[in-house]
Amino acid sequence: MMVDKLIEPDSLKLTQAGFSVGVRLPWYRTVPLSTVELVSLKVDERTIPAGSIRFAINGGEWRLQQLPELVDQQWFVIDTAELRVVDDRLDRGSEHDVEVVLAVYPPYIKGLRRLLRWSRRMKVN
Amino acid sequence: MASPKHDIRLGTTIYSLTNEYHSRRYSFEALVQKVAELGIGPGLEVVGFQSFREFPNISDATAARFRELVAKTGLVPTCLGINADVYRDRRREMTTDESVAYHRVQLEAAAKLGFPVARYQWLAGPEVIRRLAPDAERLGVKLGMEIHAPQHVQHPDVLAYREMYEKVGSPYLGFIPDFGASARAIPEAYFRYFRWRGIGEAAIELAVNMWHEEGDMFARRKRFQETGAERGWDPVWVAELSIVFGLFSRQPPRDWLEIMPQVVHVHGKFYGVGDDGRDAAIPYEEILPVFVEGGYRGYISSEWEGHQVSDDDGFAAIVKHHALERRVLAQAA
Repeated sequence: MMVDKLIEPDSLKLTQAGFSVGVRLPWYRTVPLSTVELVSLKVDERTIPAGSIRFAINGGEWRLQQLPELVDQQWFVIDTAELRVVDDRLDRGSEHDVEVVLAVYPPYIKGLRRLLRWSRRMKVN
Repeated sequence: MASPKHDIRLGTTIYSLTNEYHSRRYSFEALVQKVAELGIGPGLEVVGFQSFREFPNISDATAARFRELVAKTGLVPTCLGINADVYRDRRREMTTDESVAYHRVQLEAAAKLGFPVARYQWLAGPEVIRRLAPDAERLGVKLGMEIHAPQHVQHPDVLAYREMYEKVGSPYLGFIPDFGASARAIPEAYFRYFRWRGIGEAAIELAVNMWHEEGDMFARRKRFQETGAERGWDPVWVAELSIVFGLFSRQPPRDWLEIMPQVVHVHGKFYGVGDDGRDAAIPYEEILPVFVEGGYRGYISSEWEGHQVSDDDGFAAIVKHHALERRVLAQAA
């Protein structure tokens, strides 16, 4: 089952600019990033503005609104992507509820928007 | 010695082991080795976009490694799952020329890896597949369209392919029945999952009732989604419940006879074999004798899809499924 694997365990990390969270592709096969949509990211009920988030994988990082253009960037099914957030409010060692809502548009199923939501309590590393 | 009444061989699709793989407990190579160890081959089916990082391209090195793995395990490559990703750019649908090129690369990958059949999907469209028939012949790889719920042998989308096949008359164009199209019920595992997700009983009941209605399954799914939106249900609930419309349909098993001479491979879709040796959702006791009667010669891949809604052990599920298939086939022979 995929929904409870959406957030990589123990993946909340402090970064220079803020923090990052690891996300897994909730699907059985690789898809292009153009078919992935990060609907929302919340930390302790606080919605992180989309403009503060970058989606990172394959050695690159993109703004969320760029994802639909990334037809040739694959999200290999067993790789972890990183949501990199510009933020200054998390302290190392503190615990937070992280909620991710992510949609996948399987590219061979017309009109399907596979929408998944999961949350996980994690300590900041 | 009496000759056997059928030539149906068993196998496994690695797709059944999605949980084991997605959780990184097993690499692709380790999954294949364990399939061989457990004796749930000899047929080996693989989904290209699941198992090979560079797919749809396949490098010489990857092809060599895969062929070595096959030789070492003694398994028999049966089918490579390829995809009709016509919405890979979701802002626009692929053109026919683009789709032909996209499918051709995958067909070449199948040949390079040593698969005799490539499973394709109906969204490819008959025109794309008609244009690929010469490639299939050149490469020695049959193109098999998966007949998957909610479609069935008499569905207009499938009839369009049957007409095209008739005109082209190539032995390299065929069908791959998926037994989810001949389901008798929605599997219990899905209800357990929906309740575990906290989805309301009224929403579950409406989805089940609509699933049991007559008429086009896509239209029913749309109606369910509209009703859900009207009632203000959580969009995540509506999205989760919508999957039942695309996974199971109720085609009578005997209808498979209509296309039997064109069957090039089979997906033995199942959701779990109980203590009684049956799958409560898929009537194997009715379906397999139809394939014996129709003279199907080839492989059935055990395709356990319970991984979508549970973390149960895929290997154990397949071992039981092979026992079920052997029992029913022995009785039918």
